[in-house]
Amino acid sequence: MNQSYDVIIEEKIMSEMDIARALSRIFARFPHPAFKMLELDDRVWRAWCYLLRGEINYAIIKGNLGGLKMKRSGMTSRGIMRNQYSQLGLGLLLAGAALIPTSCLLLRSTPITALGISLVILGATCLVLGKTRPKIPPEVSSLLMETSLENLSSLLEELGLKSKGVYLPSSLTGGKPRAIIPLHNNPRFPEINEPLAQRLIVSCGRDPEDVGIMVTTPGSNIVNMLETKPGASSDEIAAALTTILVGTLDLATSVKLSLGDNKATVNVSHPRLEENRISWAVQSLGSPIASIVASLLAEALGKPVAIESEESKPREKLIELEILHAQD
Amino acid sequence: MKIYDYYIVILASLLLITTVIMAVLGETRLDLYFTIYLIETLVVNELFVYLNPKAKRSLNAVNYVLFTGFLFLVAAEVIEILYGIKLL
Repeated sequence: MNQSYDVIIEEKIMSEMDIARALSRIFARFPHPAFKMLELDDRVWRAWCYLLRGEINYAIIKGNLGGLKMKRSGMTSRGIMRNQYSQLGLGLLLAGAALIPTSCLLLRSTPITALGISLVILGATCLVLGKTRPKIPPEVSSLLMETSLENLSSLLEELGLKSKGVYLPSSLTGGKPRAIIPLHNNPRFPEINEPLAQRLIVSCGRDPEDVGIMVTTPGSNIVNMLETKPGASSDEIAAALTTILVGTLDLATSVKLSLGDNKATVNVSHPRLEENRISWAVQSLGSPIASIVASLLAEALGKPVAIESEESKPREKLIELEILHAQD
Repeated sequence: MKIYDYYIVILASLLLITTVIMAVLGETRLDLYFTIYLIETLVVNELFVYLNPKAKRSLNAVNYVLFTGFLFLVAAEVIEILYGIKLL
């Protein structure tokens, strides 16, 4: 009752505004899934109507989302059981554990006991691999990626940008590897000597026309998935690309790299990601796989990299990249 | 995950082939079976260098457990030699 005015404002209004701001950021970032949820899920639609009528507030919505989080973690533990590797692992483990005493005590057969031990080893391996599978289903990952590419395409189309993007290492972006799409096509990309400002529209050279928009690409967060940043040698970059594309993301079966002084050729075997070649984002920044390759190459070499061409064949993708300012 | 599938298939094939060959040769020492399984698991783990770091760490944990079992077998053999007590 005797609370001061600013404390009441802080408790009642500012907390609501914080939650509302967080929700609006989610809606702005993922408009397509957000509207799909309103359309398909009755609970979401009803909550939205109650909110508009003033029957509930944002704090109640946040509380319910917290309940949803608990439900989700409950489903995750059941989700582990639905994981094929975990199911296989558990089955093999139980079979092996049952076979060992049976064959040892009853059958008195060493080979069958050894078979039981091998089943236990295999079961433990499968269980462990099941737990390291990505938690986000591939369909959700695909949805999020398509949504972000569509947003970027809309932005580029609105600005009328058709120039090819240049991938910059983190040393030149002041943060993580990013791509800059010049507003004007410049045959010679200007040399960047110091980190660029962390803004959407940045100046990338001395000429006033050397301006571009700096965007985060699928490859921007890739380096965080590696234990160590790869060096500039061909072997290290090839190993990093294989670890990411084959081991971590499961986007290809193998990757080969041919590194020259100012050119690089990457051959990705059996690529699994389909892309929309008509999309403005893909025309400017390349396909998601090419984007990941270019980001990693730029980060490893510490130099800007541009995608010269991409050729998609039935079982492989050939990506030609140009290393800018390679002699510097 | 294709790389996980390859890993499991290769490991399962190796373990099975080893068991069959040693059974055909009439081998009855269980510790020898276990030692060869351990070596095969370690080798396959090392060959699959492109697994993601989390999977590699988890598989290393399995290898540590297997290696502990191997050390137990070695200790049992040493005790049998030194004191004549047969633990296994």
